[in-house]
Amino acid sequence: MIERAIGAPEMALVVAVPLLAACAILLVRRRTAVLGMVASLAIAALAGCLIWRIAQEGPQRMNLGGWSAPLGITLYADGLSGWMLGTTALIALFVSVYGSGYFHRNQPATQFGGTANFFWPLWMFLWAALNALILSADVFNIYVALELLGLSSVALVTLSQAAPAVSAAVRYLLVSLIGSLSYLMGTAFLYAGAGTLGFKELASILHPESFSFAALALMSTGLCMKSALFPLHFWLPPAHENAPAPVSAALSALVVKASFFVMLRLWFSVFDRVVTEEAAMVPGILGAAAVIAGSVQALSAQRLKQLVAYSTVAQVGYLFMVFPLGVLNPSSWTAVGGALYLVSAHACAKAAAFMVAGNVLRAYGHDRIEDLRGVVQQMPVSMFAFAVAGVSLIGLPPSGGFIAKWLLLTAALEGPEWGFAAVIVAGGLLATAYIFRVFSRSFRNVTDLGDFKKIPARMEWSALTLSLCSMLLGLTATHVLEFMQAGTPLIRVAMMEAGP
Amino acid sequence: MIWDPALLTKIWVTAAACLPALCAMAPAVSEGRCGRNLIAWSAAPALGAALFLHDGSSAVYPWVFLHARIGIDPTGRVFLLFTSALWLLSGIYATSYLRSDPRQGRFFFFYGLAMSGNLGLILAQDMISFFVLFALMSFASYGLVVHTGEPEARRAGRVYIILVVVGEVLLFSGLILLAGAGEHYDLLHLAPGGVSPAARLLLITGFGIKAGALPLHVWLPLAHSAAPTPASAVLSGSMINAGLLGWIRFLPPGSGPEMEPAWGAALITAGLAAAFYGVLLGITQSKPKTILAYSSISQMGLITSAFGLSLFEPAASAPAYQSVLLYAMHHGFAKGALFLGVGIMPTACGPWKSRLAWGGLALAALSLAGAPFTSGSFAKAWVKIAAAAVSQPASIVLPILLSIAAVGSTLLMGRFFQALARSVQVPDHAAGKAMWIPWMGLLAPTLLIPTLYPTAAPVATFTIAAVWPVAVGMALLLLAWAALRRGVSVKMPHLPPGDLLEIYAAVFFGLRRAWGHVWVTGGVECRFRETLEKAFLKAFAAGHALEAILGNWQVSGLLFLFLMFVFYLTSF
Amino acid sequence: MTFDNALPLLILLTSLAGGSIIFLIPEHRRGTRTALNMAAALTKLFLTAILVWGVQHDHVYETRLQFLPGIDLLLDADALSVLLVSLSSVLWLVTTVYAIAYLEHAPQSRSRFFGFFSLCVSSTIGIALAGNLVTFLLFYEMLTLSTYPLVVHRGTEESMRAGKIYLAYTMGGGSLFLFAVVWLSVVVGPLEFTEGGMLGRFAGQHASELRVIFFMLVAGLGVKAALVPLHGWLPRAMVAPAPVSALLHAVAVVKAGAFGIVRVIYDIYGVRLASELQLLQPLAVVASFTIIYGSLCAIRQDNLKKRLAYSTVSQVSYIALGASILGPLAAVGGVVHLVHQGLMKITLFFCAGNLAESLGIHEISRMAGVGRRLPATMAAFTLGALGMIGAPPMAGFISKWYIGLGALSAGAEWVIWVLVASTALNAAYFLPILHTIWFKEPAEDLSDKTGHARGRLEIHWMLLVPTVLTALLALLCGLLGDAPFSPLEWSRLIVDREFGQ
Repeated sequence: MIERAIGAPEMALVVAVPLLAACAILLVRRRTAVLGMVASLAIAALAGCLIWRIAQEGPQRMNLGGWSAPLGITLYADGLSGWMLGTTALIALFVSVYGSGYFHRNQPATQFGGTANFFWPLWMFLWAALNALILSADVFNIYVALELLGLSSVALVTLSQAAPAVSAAVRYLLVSLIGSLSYLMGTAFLYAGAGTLGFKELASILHPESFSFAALALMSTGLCMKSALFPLHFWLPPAHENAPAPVSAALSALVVKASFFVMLRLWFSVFDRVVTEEAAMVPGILGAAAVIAGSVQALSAQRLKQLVAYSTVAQVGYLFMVFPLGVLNPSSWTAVGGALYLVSAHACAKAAAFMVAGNVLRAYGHDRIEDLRGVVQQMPVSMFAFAVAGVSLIGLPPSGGFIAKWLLLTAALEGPEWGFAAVIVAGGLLATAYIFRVFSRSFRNVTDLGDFKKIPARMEWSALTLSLCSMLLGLTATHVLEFMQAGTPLIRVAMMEAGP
Repeated sequence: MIWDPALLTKIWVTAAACLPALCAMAPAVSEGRCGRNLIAWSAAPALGAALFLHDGSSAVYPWVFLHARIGIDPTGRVFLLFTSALWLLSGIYATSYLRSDPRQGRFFFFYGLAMSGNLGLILAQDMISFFVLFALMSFASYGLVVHTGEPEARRAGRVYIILVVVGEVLLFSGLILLAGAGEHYDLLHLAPGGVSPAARLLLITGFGIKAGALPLHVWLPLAHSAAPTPASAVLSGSMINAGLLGWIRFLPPGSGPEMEPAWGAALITAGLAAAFYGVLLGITQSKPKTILAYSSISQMGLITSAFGLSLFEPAASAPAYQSVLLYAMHHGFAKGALFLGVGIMPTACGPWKSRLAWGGLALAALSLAGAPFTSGSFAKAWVKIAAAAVSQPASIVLPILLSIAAVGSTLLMGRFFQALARSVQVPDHAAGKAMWIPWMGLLAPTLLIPTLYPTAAPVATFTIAAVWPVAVGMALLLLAWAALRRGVSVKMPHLPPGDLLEIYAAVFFGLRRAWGHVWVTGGVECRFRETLEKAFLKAFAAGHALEAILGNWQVSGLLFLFLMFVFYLTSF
Repeated sequence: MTFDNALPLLILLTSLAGGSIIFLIPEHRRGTRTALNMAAALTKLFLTAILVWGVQHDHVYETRLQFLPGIDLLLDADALSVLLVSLSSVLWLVTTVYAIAYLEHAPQSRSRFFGFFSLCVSSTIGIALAGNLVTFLLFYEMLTLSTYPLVVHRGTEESMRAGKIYLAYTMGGGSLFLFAVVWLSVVVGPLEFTEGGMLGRFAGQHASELRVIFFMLVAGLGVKAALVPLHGWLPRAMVAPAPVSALLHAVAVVKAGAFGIVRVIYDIYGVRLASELQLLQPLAVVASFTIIYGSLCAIRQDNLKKRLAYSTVSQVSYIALGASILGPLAAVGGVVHLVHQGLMKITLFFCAGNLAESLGIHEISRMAGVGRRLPATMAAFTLGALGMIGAPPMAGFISKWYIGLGALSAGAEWVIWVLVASTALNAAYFLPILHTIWFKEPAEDLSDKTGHARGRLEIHWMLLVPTVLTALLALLCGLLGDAPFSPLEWSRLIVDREFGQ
């Protein structure tokens, strides 16, 4: 695979632009929303160009400042990162749209006094961190990105200054620090043992030795914690539940996935000779447990945002099943492709779901599921968006969730891994149960509709658009899966498909 | 080309079958006298067809049912003749009989449908059409049975419809077996032997219900007495014979190797049993129409045994078959005349008319008993010929039994007259011209048939064999009458009409009660759901507890380290 | 993309697009909505006519879209699909007309109703046209979802409960079905429906797996086909408005299940393989049990719609029964019952709807003498009921006749006794109703409650015409059994192709 030494400028820009935008907004302090929107559009456009370029010319590599790894910072973009970048851009763009409505000045600003102004800079930081993390090609840069990501997320959570939000934020802060620390230790082990940090170099050097085991263990555990894998998910529900709606959307849709994405890279390319099948079973089993536990929690959740948050816990469980399925299976691209598809589909659906929850909260001043009677009558667009998102979360055709589920299930049955297959199906049923908990209330016809505040149209329509995107994903599977494989991002997969 | 005779024939045959049904829609459209007359007269094409169309004239409708085919054949002609006549005359009679009935529109609607079914099934030449039209007739006549809406009519209707359904399912399965065996649905060319015993049994029973064969006759006394008089006439005169036709069509009296002596014997026995049973139970009844109904049972019994003869031995086959046709026709007319006579109500009209009415009834009754010069004696004579044709000892026993049966029917007729004379009559409801003329029309054949009916050999009707049963019967009646005059009172055991029905009903309700006890449904499901919900609640509780535990730092910290450890270990 | 390739997609889109637009029509624009509905329905009917003609003349209509690696989204019109397509297009038209009048006074959103209504029909069409199991699955699940809002449309406590139960059953079945489909495609690769069965070439391999998968598939489909013991949702779902129940019971949901079973048996496994693996006998037994059990439950209902619902449980299993008896005759019986049951049952539900709408009567015990108040409606009801009993010459008789013949030729005499019993039971719960309607004196005043009666008509013409029309169709299907393009003829065509004669 030929990679051009001086890669596409977009790669640097998708990271730089949001950083600059953040600083600019911090300085200007006025018309933050306008600036934010402009920046978002620009970043999204850049991401689009990069994807187009990858599709056309194959993977891209760029050495910042001309130095190549291990000294300099290297950015690398193959199909995998291209896809993640695209997903991020899509979600982030609509989160910006939604946020511009949510933090609009003539919205009831009681619960976010002046802090609304801080949304845009923080949000830009977060986006920059995400892009950096996706594009970085060595283990240490990823650590930096992770830290930036964690801090900006925590800050965003605190934007709603309610007491529970703050305590949740503190807890979140601790968790993300612990996670990144353990990841950093792993990086240290690697550097000590292998003397380099670049993905490619490491992949060729690493062998099953105790230091790489240690590194694997430290990094994986940290990442599991950061992506709220059961049983280390305790911090996620309160944080996502109490954050402002656009923030919850971004956190659930992107931030959680970022650490999963890193773990995927590590396991399937960097540590690919190191991981054993037993090791692969660990996240798989925890994931299965997460699917069940998260869904059960969602079933008994009292508030809409809580329900959506726990559904994230469950869906993350699906993602982690990819490790056993990918490692054990002869044709593991099915499993990995499924997981990646789930990342995007779930991102769209979950962002939409959180936005709807935010709308409900805004419109009624509460989001108690018990009291959602007649919502369908009053907010048809939002509830329709929620329904479509729900379809994708449940994994019914023709949504993106279905494609993902189909691929995972196929991988499980090829094994055959009966246990995982059963959990995948059961998870779908439980999802149905908790999604329709909402509808069985909201379809109820009521004559006296409670006090109901009108909300900006864009808040409703951005939710709808995202949910429809998760639907559209179901019809483009073939091309997307092709695109993801550009540059054979996962060595293990590449080898397996080359091999007999 | 419209004057094409073949086309005309086709139209005619079709009209004979379908016209009544079409006219039946008239009252639905407009309540009016003309519509009702239309229905009454809509039997005319069928009568005409029976008289003038030549055998083999048929109409084929490949689209209808499963390739429907209707037409006229020798057997069908005989049935069509008296059936259509009976429907026509009863129809005209009904226009006057029901003239003051508010719901006569409904009556004529069902009348037309039933007529269409009855005439159509006679013309039908393929199984499906026969079955379809048979069903049409059966279901439509429910409307006739329950017409009055009085409690006993409703009860009669219930019993009737239940037995109709039973009959339908029996026939359905029988037909399936039959059609499954031979691939074609053609009725006229059924191989006599080609019917499996199961199919045979099903068909005999299924049609037997309609023909009032024991022990499924229970509906007949109820229905025939509950229905309005003209309806009773057609029920008892024509529809009852539809069952007989069914037997003839589906179990053709074969000859040679396909002979079914066992079945023949069985039918003969059953028939004779019915003949006596009908008489014995009829005598205990007090309502004229009920008595007539029981007499129908016994007469059909005789016909059944005649039919049995036709299956019994090759020698007897031809005459027996002849006798079956004859007897059916005779019985149709006579019984029709008797029923309509009841409606005329001799006791309610003026002296001359009264005498005329009694005379007519007497004639019909005598013909039924088989007195000389009447159609009855003629038919019975043929039966005796057939009976004599079979081998010993049956050839000795059967004629005697038949004669005894004849004595019985004489007595039954006597009982009928007594009941009729006693029955209360409503003067204001006296008969009009439109009732007298049809009645006369039905009486005529009882005298005409012996002279007009084309038979192989002329049969003497004035013979000792023919006379003595009637004479004996008369004598007994006189004795009984004298005894009654002397004040000798005979305690008649009162049996409810539809005798065995009581037993069936008892059994049925017993079973249903038993079923009601064992019947529990939904319960299981409910319990299942409850347990499920309980389980859910438990799971939720457990989940919350777990969350709480995972929430505190010590635990999560430990888990974190533990997970790290596991990763490390599993990597080796 | 030629017209032939586009036609299936077009037929699907007429209702799909129509439905989506209807969602956006504001509530008060009644005229627009009606116009759109009717336009879509008529267009679909027209396109379907073309399709019927084409398939009769061996045209190939096939739309392929890429869906998954190695798996296409395939719409493909073969004889069997055309049967269901034409049924649903016709019934959609009449039901739409009926629904427009029926929901005139309803407080709930009509745009929502008609939107989901069209989606429901589109999914049925999709199910009919699906050319492989994955496409089938797609529309099968879509049907589940688009029906839920219709079931709970009234928004009452009871309908919510019904919706919950409906969902529990159907989603459960759905996931079982999904599991089986994935497994099967892992075992044998892509699963395109092929006349005579696509698994034929796998005869002798993975027998045990195929057995298990078959029963999972049938169980998954059996939920919608309301096979006992998976029927629990159906009697409860009848709280939905009459047009919905009519559509549900006649063509949409239960038919989807039954149709799927037929597909699996004939086009996936193929009758021969299925009978080699001894899969058909158990299915036949379950179906027979359902037939009897459903009728027994029906007898005990006083609520008219409940009784009709249970009768659906029993009647739909005729299709499964016919399909599960080896041999062309029974197959004809089963397939033709798809149409016949649909016509008869939709008539009955329309009548129930008219009763509820004009007189507010829901119980059989209160129906005394309504025949005089609603003669035409009740005449239609009578025809439908007689058809259900299977009294000739109604359509129901034809189905029974062929199933019976088939059973006999397959040497399964016991099936005949099932038919007999079911006929008797049907009579036991329909004939009393007929008696009550026609021969009992009205107990209460049967004056119009809702002002639906217009002039000389007993009820609004838009409620009356569909009722009478479907009743007459049901009558004609039996009366003109052998006519060209009659359901019977068409089923014969289907079966000939399936059995490769």
